[in-house]
Amino acid sequence: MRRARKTCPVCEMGVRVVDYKDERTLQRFITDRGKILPRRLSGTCARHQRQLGTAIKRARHIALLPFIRSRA
Amino acid sequence: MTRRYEIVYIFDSAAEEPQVEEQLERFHALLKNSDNPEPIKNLNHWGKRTLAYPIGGHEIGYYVVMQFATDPTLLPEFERLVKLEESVIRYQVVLNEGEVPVPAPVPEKDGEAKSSDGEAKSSDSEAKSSDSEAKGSNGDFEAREEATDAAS
Repeated sequence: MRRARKTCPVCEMGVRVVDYKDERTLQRFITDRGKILPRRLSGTCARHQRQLGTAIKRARHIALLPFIRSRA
Repeated sequence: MTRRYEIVYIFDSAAEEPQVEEQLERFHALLKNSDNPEPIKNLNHWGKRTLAYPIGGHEIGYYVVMQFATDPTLLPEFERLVKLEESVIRYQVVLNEGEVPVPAPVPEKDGEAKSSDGEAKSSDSEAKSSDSEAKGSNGDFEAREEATDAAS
């Protein structure tokens, strides 16, 4: 059985360029540990996954997102 | 030739707004030259925010975001000065050649927030179902990944 192709959530939001300052959106693409979510799970397209990777790393540097989050 | 950049400063939260303004003034003087008397395009004070992790003992930082256009040859000297300044606990300069960025995160409206929540949930469940599907070929790898997660 073939599953319908997943659509990229970033494309659906109508975003061309992912902004590293928008930590609320980026929050959706990291795990509860703070790791970047793989495409396999998030379903993003290749272009947006690349942009997300860069954006999340930038956001980490300016302390908008954690590098790691310990489990409460 | 000028290029467009964006910088995020994180100042020590102990610094008061006038002090911050004064510092910014000092930094920005370095970006000007005769061809480009007005380098600053957009200056935005986010104010005090809790940092996602402590930086050098600081838990709270005062954020300032600025878009500017300047000659790349002026940047090294500018960055040197910013680095030397002790009240700046972190900064990040990024090339900003794409479209003009949207100004700062805007608080969402209630209705919008709800709909985007629902969307998040549906994509979550979708992710889960594809997860279980992936287990057939990739289950071993995944289990290991989880184990290392739990261990650390």
